[in-house]
Amino acid sequence: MSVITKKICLLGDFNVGKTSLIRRFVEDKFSDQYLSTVGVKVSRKSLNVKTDLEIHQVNLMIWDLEGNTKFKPITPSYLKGASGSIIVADLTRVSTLGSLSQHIALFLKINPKGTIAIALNKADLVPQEKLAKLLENYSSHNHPQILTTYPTSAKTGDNVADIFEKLSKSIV
Amino acid sequence: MNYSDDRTSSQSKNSDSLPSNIEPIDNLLDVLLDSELSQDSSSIQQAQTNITEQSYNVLSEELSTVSDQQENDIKDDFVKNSSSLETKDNNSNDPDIDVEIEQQDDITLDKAVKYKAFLRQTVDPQTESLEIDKSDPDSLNQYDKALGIEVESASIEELAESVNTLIPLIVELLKYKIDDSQETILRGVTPIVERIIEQRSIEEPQKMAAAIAKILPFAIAENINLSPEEIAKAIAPELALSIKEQIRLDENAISEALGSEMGKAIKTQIEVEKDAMVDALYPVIGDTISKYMVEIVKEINTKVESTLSPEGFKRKLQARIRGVSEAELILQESVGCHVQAVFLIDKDSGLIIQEARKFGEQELESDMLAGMLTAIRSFANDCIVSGSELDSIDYGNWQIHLEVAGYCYLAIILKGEPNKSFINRVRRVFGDIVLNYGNDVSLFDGNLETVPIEIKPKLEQLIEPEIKQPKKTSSSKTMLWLLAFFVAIVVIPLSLTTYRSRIAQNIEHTAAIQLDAAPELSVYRLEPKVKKSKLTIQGRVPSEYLLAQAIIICQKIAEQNNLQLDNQIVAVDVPVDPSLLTGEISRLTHLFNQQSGILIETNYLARNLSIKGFILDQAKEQSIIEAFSRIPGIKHTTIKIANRLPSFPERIYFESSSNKVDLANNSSKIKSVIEFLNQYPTLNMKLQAYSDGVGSKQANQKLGIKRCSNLKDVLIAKGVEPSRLVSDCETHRISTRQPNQTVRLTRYIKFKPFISTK
Repeated sequence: MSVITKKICLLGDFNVGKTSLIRRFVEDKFSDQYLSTVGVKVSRKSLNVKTDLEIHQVNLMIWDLEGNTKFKPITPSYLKGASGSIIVADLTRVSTLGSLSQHIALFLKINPKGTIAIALNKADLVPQEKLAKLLENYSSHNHPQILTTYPTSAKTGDNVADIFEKLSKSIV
Repeated sequence: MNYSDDRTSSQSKNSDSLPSNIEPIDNLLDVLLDSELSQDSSSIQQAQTNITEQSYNVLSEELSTVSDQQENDIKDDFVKNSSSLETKDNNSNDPDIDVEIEQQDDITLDKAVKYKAFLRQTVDPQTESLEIDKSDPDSLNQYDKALGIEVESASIEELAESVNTLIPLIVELLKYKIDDSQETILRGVTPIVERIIEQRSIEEPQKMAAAIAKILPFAIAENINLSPEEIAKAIAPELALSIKEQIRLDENAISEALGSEMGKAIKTQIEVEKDAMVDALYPVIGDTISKYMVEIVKEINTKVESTLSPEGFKRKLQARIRGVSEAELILQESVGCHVQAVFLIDKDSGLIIQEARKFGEQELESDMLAGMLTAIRSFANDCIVSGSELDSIDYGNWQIHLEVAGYCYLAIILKGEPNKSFINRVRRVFGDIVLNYGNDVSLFDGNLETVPIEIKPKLEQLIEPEIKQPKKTSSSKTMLWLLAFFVAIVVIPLSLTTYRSRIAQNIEHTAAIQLDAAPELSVYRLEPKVKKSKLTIQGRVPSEYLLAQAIIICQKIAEQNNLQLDNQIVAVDVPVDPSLLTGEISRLTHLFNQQSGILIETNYLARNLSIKGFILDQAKEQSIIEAFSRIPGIKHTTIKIANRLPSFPERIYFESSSNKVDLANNSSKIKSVIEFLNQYPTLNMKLQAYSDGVGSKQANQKLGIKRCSNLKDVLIAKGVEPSRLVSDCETHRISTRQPNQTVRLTRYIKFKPFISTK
């Protein structure tokens, strides 16, 4: 079993739930309170990833980046050296879904070989029928490096571990 | 429990009628308050009793349930009850008393319960058994009037009784009124309650205590829940005292109780308000720091005191070379620098390529640290676009030192101030890593297996202070060599010279002793000195002979010790005591003259000795000269020595058979005899008579003796000392006649000089 360390980033507009997703994944906790991330926060989570050949222990170094706002773009240098990225949007805010493509482009510009997973967060706040429609609209990023799109909920924990694990598996 | 929804309308109605409601209650309270002053009022008492009993009956049911049932039930009962009361109230002319139960606070209910419990004890059993008209609808009216008009006429006892019977009603009224005009009721009731409690607690403190005790914990608990601040305020002043008291009673109890929580409390306080804690601890920390500083200063002192040690010299040298002050170096040495961990981190991703940490140090979250460090680096580089790099992060006494290369950087976590040599070492090691493994590092993808294993030991080099140690010892080794060199330079020659000088001294000593041992040299000061394989003798001797003697002695010693002899003895002419010298000369002269055939005369003048005289034996002459030359003080010897005595050829001739000396013809001859004797005063003359042989031997012998004595007389008469003239005439000597010789020439006396034996 080899030990592999990988850096992944969480990208997305402010208040889409990046920090909450990480918190749910790393500590399995959730809080309704909104705490804005300043700069960057690094977390670690070890996973066992099974590939065709062997089982790897993957230490994910998860960089939680400050969400971008109109006034403050994401610092590109934080993205350097990331193997993968989870780009997060808020299903309850259309504007955040709209800026997904912008984040994808930024990430791929800095890491041309990086892998992307898209998390459409706060799925618990959206009625089921609306969710299906939104997913249909925003899952259509036909880019080879975009692994998948998941509706996630940091509050309920739906798909949170799945999206991280899937991304880990693809970058190992 | 929320009933408000259905009764919103009535509530608003109530609040409208609030001022009018207050009046009667106030009046009632006034009565209660002034009960002591009031006088007879039996009618009122009657009325009051009626009313009270009526309501009491109604209420007693509910109130009895209050203590047994739970809050919900109580409230339900109240609701039921309220309707019946409402109807009664409507019948009377009283101002509108709308009974309702809405959102009753826990505390209100609680008060009610408590109050009832209290009442049960205070109400006189007699009052309870009073006969009461249950069906008097005007009783409320009467009560009202009584309150307004006749209160003052009631006697104290009666009033008290009526008050007692009224109490349950009051309670109920109060209960209903509380929501509408809590404030007023409170204002009114409080003094009575206070007084009652006061009174009761004086009369029957035990019972009071028992009554309150049951509910006290709940009450306190409830109040803490509701208004913790008030409770805190109430308890606060006593808290300190009670703690003090408890400490007095059991010293350890408080600390035991608090101890386990203290740590947590401090921790929490630090989390909550760090600054306050900092302020609080500052004085203590100051002390701690000063203590630490004292230690450091001590260390510095010892370092300063050891200025003259090799380390001190080394430090001085270092200070000179590096151009920093010595104090800085001392401080650096005193404070030191400990590396806790070294990380080789990928510059972009912040992933750890390799790490090394000090054994036994507490675990660092290295991954996180590397990530955050990388983020900080990126941040700094983005914010400060100057192309420069973040090279260290300081936090207190700790430092993260950063060395950055193309694809990776080195982060060293260390305590204290790193010195220049350490940084140089770091750069060397890092340069080495980048140079040799730069390619592997640039291809690092998070898989630690791809990292060359050689990197780790290199990083570990930086941690272990032992690496530094050999350096130190090597320097101390050089110091040792230097010392040895010093020893070689100073001590060895020193000891060699001491050794040599000791040997030399020995030799000198022997030489001096041996020179002393020679008697003729002992009086002279001769100084033997050994220098550079040479035996030098200095000094003065008065003669060449003594010099030679000294040389012989010293030569022997020099040969024994393989030394060359450097003779610096000078034979000097020491003026010898002249009387001794002349004495010696005259002694020797006399001694030699004693021997036969030797007649010498010595004359010493101005260090010159002249020897003259006759030494007939030539062999003796040499030894005699030698003997004189040995006398010290004689510089030159002049020798005038003859080996033969001088001859005197003149003869005195006589007439035949005559013994008379012909003075006329021989005067010149006699004169020359005297001259000869004067010339050689040391020589004497022998007179020898010769005959012509004519006549008898006897006659001639006689004649010869006569002639001798005659001549002797003549010479003595001429002034010659008789002792110098010796007659040798007894012997009959006949001269042999030469051809062509007259006879006359055969009769004569011959002179023969000789050395007299004295």
